[in-house]
Amino acid sequence: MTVDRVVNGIARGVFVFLYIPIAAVIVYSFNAAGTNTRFEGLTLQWYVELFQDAALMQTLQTSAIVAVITATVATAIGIMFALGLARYRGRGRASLLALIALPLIVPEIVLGVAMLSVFSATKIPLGILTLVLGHLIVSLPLATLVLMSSAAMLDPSLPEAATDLGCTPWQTFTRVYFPLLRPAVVAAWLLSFTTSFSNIVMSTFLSGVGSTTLPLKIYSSLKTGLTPSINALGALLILLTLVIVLLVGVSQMRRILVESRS
Amino acid sequence: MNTQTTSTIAPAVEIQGLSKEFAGHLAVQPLDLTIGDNEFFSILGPSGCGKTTLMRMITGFEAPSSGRVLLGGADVTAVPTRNRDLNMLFQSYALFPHLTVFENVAFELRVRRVAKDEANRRTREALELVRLGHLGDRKPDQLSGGQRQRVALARAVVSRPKVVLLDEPLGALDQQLRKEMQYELKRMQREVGITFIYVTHDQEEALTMSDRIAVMSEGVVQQVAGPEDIYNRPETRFVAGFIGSCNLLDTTVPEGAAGDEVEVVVDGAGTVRGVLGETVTSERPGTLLVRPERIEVRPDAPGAAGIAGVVETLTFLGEEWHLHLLVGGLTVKASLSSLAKERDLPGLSMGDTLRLSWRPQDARIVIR
Ligand SMILES: Nc1ncnc2c1ncn2[C@@H]1O[C@H](COP(=O)(O)OP(=O)(O)O)[C@@H](O)[C@H]1O
Ligand SMILES: [Mg+2]
Repeated sequence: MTVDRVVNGIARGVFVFLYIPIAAVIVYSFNAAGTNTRFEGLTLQWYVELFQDAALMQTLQTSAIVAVITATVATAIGIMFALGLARYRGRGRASLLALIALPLIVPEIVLGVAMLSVFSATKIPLGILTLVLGHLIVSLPLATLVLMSSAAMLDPSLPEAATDLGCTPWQTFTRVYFPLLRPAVVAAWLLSFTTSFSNIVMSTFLSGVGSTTLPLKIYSSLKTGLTPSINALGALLILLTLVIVLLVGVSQMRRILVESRS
Repeated sequence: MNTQTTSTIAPAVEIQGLSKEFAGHLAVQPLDLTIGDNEFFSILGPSGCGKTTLMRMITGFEAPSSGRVLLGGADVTAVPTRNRDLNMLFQSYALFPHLTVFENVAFELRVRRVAKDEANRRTREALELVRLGHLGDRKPDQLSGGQRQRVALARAVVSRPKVVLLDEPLGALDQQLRKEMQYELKRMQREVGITFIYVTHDQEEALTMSDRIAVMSEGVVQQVAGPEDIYNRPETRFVAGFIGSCNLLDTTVPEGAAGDEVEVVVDGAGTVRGVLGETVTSERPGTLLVRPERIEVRPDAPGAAGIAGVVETLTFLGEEWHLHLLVGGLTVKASLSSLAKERDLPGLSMGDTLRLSWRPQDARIVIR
């Protein structure tokens, strides 16, 4: 059928479109030419330069620290919200849900400006703390929604059964809720992590002197021209992503993505 | 069975003045109940009458508005659920989906830190009891409904609690399986010697399984008695109407009436007799309750005892016949075994006049 062929062709095209940039980054990270317009043989020079670029490494460290803290806090609070809302059926549930999802709808730039004015009014110095708080605003709704869809599928009598069988509230959490929500917890953490790690808008407003994040650094270096070390960094991040996917397991990953959507 | 050496054994559960109010509405009116050791005790009533609420107050999931709950003689009203020596069997089974059958059953013993060997041994025993010893490694979603039910039961009895509460546990099973499980539940209860409190809206289930039944309606316990008494000697209009089929004949109870052979007049039908459970000091409206199979029907003959009734309908059901008889202005239901019909009333047909009578102890008169 011609329709099938067309669809097939488009699908291939999309795949090529998606993966060519990734392949290009990896290839150029080994390009001896030092520019993305020519290819002149292989080198590891850019990797060496990357690790010698103290300023860039500093921003990578900042981003990693902020993302880990943000993801962990967002997931922890998300679990509490999700478990609370899964059981709460009373008045105000809908408004509470809307309130949680609101930061997803409000333009991030508005949130950024708002947070900045709050921090200058309260004289909180810009730095890791303000970055984490800003990133939380955007990650928390995502983490909560992912966890809530899983929590809502749990049989509401499970916690009562656990209590009945001798569990304290904490034991109910560790023995019943946590194992059952584990895929969603992993999904929420990873989602919050990447949301924070790649954030530019919030970070623009909320990073202070010495707490520039990696995306900001890359973005600002666009003005002076991309250095090949950026390609090397990109290649390393892709590798890291692959390692995570393999560690979590491909089948697990698919379950996480499917579950967090249903 | 263990024989207790102490002379007085406290009842498994005592409920004193227990009530529950939801937003100004009394779901359970203040009530008293005493449930004995090793008893299979049912709470029977229509949907919404407060059975689940009563049960949740016993387990501690719901705090009572008034009253006390005693377990084995000790007041547990303020004790949290996890420290009450009782377990619940949930209608949804509430098995932990991430644990195997074995781990589900062992759950309580592990939470309560029973030594590993001991816990494993008792878990295996509980699985043997429900005949699922071979399925310990399965996950709950790999089991049939009936098997899940058994796992839930094993999980509830593994720690040998004083009481197991079951809330409509057979509701999700099909008819065939329900019958089997009724028998199995009763067998297991005997075997483990634990008090079962069984909540159901199914009268047949309650009658076949229970040692005693509490019939509930709109938050009020109407009658507590053994299955035979509940069926044969209903004490309230509600019990008579809810369980089986019963004639409810309106009457007037005369002043000063009391005792086991009270004569009352049923309008248009004549004078009949029945048991009056209380003494009335002034004339009161009442209802005479008598089951169809307790009514004796005989051919009409001059001078025959009983009240006269004309056959309105006549239905053959195999083992018995159902008759609707017009007595005065009332329709009275009577049933007749196939044997009695063939022997005593071979040519019976619609429009025939019969004589109806019953022993006074088979009819109950209640005040409206
Ligand atoms: N949590 C609750 N809040 C308000 N009303 C309730 C609650 N639980 C039960 N009820 C009400 O109490 C009454 C008894 O309910 P329930 O105990 O579930 O009856 P049953 O188990 O006999 O069907 C019903 O009218 C029900 O609507
Ligand atoms: Mg109920």
